[in-house]
Amino acid sequence: MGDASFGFSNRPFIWMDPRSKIVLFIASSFTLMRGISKVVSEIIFFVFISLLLFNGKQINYTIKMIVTFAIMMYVDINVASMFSGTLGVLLLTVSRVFRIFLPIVMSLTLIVRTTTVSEFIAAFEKMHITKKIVIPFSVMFRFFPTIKEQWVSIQNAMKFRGIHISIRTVVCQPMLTMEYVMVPLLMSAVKISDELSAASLSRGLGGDKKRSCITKVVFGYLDYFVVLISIGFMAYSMMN
Amino acid sequence: MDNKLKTKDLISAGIFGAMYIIVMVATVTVVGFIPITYIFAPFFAGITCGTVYMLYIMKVPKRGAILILSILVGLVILSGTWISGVYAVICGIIAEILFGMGNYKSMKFATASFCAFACTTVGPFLAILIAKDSFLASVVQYYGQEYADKLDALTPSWIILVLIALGIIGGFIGATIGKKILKKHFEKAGVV
Repeated sequence: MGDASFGFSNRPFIWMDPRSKIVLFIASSFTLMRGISKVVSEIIFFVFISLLLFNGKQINYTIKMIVTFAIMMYVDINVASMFSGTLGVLLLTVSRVFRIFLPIVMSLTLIVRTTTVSEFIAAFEKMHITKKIVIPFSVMFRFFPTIKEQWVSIQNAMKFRGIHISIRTVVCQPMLTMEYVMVPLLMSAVKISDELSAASLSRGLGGDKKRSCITKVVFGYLDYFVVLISIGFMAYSMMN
Repeated sequence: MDNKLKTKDLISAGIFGAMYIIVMVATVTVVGFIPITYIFAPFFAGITCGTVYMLYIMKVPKRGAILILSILVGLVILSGTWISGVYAVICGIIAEILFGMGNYKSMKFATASFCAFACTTVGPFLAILIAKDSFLASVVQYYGQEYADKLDALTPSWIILVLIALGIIGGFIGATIGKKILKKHFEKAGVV
């Protein structure tokens, strides 16, 4: 599973509280869904999240994202206006839509890749949220990258047997394609959920007693800073 | 059978929540590229998510399980407007009651409950009812003016009822397919 090793192998330079990461995520989706009208503020927000990702040692990933962002920015400002009609609209759409989603995806990555499940649970328990929400929530966030891994290996296995999933198969044989996609994905999900619950039961998650936790979950200077900036951006987008 | 949620069930809820959201988002993204099919997004999402939902409620047939799933889904949809998050939880409660009426066993009530649950995807469209202008403004941000104009022409206020109806039909089809797939693959393998 590698649920714990994932976070621990990437110890950040400055430790960040999961709660401030969540505030950042909410801020990113909130501001961008409302629509940041000013390009400048969009860039500032992007740079801010990039720095935080660097802090979490997600270096390759961040560089990829920065390059993508720069290209889209360039297309939006310089290239798209050169074409008129459908092509221009298409270019503009692609460059804008994906650019707006980038910070959301990145802040989600920050949560998913640099937080361990136990950090998550400890942080939530401090907020006195009921266990019935905390456990599904933290499992869900940690499970997104696993789905992606599973999906890649399922695709490989299917190619090996000569089954290809493409837009053509989705249009021509939707039912069959759906069955081919859903059944292995769900099978692996069921298996992982069994394994994970066995693992967490053995770590004492099922007990009635209050859990203790070695990791200290406290707000540091960086966290206050992140929360302040996030709230600032939310307020800014509300005003516009 | 013990009807209380245990840690094991909560973990299943998290995993199936993740699966449900991924399948839903993938469907909406694929379908959403053309304005006309974007309107049908709840319908298609209902069809594809049916299997995930049916497997989930067969695996965790307990009180509160569906509610947790709706909260997880609601948190994701919430990023549009807060109303759609609340709406998702309301759908979840209705689905929960429907499945509860079948004593958490009956397949017929399971289908009915997914019909209600599939309506969660209508959530983002609720903005059409409440604040059409700001909704279209956000669409302009994402897809450009031309797309928004097309969407504007397609969406008078009553469309929301059509969307909910489509969601219910999609949910029914999805649940039916889900049941078939469960029978064909998962019951044999002894998963449920």
